[in-house]
Amino acid sequence: MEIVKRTKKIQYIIVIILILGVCFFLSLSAGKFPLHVPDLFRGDETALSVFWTLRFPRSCMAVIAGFGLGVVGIVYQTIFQNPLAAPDIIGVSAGACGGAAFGILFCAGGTVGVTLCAFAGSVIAVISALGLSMVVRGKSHLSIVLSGLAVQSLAQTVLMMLKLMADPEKELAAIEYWIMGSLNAITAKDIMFPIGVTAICMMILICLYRQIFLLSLHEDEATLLGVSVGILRLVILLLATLVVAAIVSVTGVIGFVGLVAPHCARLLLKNLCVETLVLSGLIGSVLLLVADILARTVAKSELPVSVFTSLIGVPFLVWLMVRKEKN
Amino acid sequence: MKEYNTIQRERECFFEIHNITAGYGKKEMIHNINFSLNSHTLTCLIGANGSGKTTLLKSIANQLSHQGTCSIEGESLEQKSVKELARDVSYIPQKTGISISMSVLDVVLMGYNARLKLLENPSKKQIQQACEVLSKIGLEKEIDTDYLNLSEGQKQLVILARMMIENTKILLLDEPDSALDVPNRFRMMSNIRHMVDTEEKAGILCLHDPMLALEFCDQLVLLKAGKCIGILYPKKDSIGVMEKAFCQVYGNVSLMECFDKEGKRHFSMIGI
Amino acid sequence: MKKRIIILLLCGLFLLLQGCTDKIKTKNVSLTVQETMTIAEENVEAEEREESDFETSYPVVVTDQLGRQVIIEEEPQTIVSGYYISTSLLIALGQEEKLVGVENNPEKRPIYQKCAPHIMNLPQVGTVKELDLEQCALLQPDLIILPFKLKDTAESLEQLGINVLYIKPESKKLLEQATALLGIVTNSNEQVEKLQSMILEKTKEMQDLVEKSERPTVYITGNSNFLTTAGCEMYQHSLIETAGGENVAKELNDFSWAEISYEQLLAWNPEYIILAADAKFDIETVLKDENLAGCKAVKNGNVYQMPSNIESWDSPIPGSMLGSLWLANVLHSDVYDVSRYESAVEEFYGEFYGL
Repeated sequence: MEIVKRTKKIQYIIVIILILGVCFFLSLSAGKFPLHVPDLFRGDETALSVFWTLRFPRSCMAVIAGFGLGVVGIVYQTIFQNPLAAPDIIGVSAGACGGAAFGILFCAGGTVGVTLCAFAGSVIAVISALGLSMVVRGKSHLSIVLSGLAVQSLAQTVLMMLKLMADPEKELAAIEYWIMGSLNAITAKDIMFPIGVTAICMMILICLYRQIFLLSLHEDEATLLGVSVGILRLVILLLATLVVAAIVSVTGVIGFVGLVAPHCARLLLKNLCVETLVLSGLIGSVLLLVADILARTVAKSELPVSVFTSLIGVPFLVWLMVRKEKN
Repeated sequence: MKEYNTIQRERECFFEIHNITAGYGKKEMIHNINFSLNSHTLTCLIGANGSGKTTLLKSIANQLSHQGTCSIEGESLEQKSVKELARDVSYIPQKTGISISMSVLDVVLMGYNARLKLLENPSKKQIQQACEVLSKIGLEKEIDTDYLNLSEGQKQLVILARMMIENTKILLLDEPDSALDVPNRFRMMSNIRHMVDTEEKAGILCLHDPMLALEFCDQLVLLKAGKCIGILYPKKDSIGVMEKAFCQVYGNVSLMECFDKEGKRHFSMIGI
Repeated sequence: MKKRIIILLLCGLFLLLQGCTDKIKTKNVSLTVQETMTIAEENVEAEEREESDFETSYPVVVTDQLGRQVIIEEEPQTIVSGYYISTSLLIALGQEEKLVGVENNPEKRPIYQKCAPHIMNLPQVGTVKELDLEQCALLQPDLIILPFKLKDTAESLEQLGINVLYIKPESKKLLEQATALLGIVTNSNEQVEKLQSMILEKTKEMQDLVEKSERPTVYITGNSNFLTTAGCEMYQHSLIETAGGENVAKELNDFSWAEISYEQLLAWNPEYIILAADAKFDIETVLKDENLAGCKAVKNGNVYQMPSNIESWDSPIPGSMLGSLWLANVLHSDVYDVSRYESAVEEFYGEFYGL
């Protein structure tokens, strides 16, 4: 009996990978620059340059970022035992926004400066939240959530003040657009950092899947099953957060992927197992890829990608829930 | 009723609880609790609500900071690392926290965690063992079912199966019977009894129903206002002694004994 | 489980709306202003036809660029300008002595330093996004001129008994109308005539010269981000078109700065790239950007920055006509000589700003 179930899970994963492949190909073909396959083979310099420095990295970024957000989403929902937990819960995104605003106002380094500031901002926010939770009340995951809320509010206050300082004619619009999240400025050199961090952390997190599921139990229970709850939770949250920070510092805040993908994966596979983690990541990739394709082709200028992640994600999730109720 | 006396111990006890004092914050819940267990025995903590039963269990499980020590075969539990402790003690709290959909098999396999390395997964042999345990308790059809979809009785059995897999020397259970109906309660207690009878184990339980304690346990530790007011041995003590002890804990109660068709003694208690 | 589904659905809807409204908000505001703009345009034109002589006779009824009818009882002696554009206009119309309050951060504008330094010490009343009502109440000016984005303050100011006019100089035509409006209100119609005629004269001179030349493609950037540009609805678009160039982004019809990608820019392949006057990045950065290596403008080194040493000419101020002239010189230096441009600058600022 177990063998049959396993096969079905693998089937789902293979189907999603195929869909991902198709979407990736579509992503490589979509864009404002008129790229034709013959040009690429002919060795047209501009076409090759556009393909390798712009379109290919952008598509890769969408896949990796979507995967990272999907897996991190399910990790957060499991550890916090909360189906509405999103990577924002301990202040990653708020910290990144504050950092980015700071970068836009004060750093002259262009996008690199903004990225570094955003990353620093999110890491500071999360370390503050985790540190605060340890000082306040030790092990309980509720204390982490509360500390996260506190840090989030603080980060949003900082963001507000920075927005007030910003010149409404120039910097304010840039900050607002950054916060909405977009892959429009992704180039080859931008993706090295997030892909590297995401790949390493994802591997570790997926290998630690058993520990993540154990962390979904009450602390006493988990400890007596041999889990060092405090340390393990800290390490896993830190890894997960690094992924989100690395992604968000380059793309801005992309919402909804980390919330929708885990639910879709769970509705499809029903039980929580390592395949669910992987499927959540893959669904996240597909979602973000399709959203990005739409964000750059639907209108004449680039729209923020979060608009489309919600436009696609919500109906899909509703369809899955309706299907589940019928069964 | 035997009063606990340190001089009377002849050999090193299988499991000993020595001078446990614990509480939450400034409030002290239990004070200087002492008792010991031999292997193949079940001990039940008896007391009214708030008398400190859960506090005591948590302290023994080293989940609550306390004064005093618990030692198993001479080794103090407080000195052990998390994994070592998990290999020696298994603990089922009052509310088990499985809140996400997992297959029954996966829940049971959690029991192997203390013996596996961080990144190691249960081997095929271990998975087979887990399936065998599940069929032993009659759940072989539910191996792939979502744990959250089971009845309360079945859930409790799965947790018990997990405990069997953990294969620890000490079993701690906090009111495992509270959510179960009568037949399931008996089934569960039989399983626990079987576990300690057939293997080198001992168990400490808090039971909701004192009749189950009288039926299945070898030793009853009575707690009142955080202090141990006595220890009962249902197989040896007279009914008069036991009734007097129960009255101290529960107020005026009447204890009766009855005999079944095979001549075995059973008890029943009613409040006056 | 059902509860979870309902909660999830509600959250989903909420997030959906959040995602959409941000983008739609800007479009909605622009759409309603578009409607009022056409009414305002017609009304101001009507006013112009009526007031054909140079002197304004008070009381006068004017219609501002939000379509509001305002009665000006007598010539205003104290004016507050909450917008750098109206401040510049007022100086050009010779009304700088009447200013009792200006927009925030006047020290950022070199022009004030050069021709009306007393402005730097005036009380500051706010920005495009926010108005300091108490400061206005304190100053009690006869007239206050504000950017249209502050339209919510109208009621409060009227309650304080202050006349308020809103301007929205988002295109060349609207800038002309704003100028005319301020001229009527401050009784400086003669100056307006002179201003409009010089602008017309210099522009025509330039256009006659560049008419026959080919129109090169131009990409103009925003201030904070290289990948933002102005579509056909924006002021900067007319600046380029007047100067004999073709705006590569003319197919975009965003009412504010539009975000694009590198791919888009490479697809357009402009021959010239013009950086905004107050851009945070410089020409060097653009020329060194590897992603633009394939772009014509970068290859030929045709990356320039709009001058800002006197005023930022890429925004709709009266002096922005010089921005067109400068650009014409850049694009068509063979027919439009730099000396013509320089003399135009001197003449303009000499006449209207006393430099």
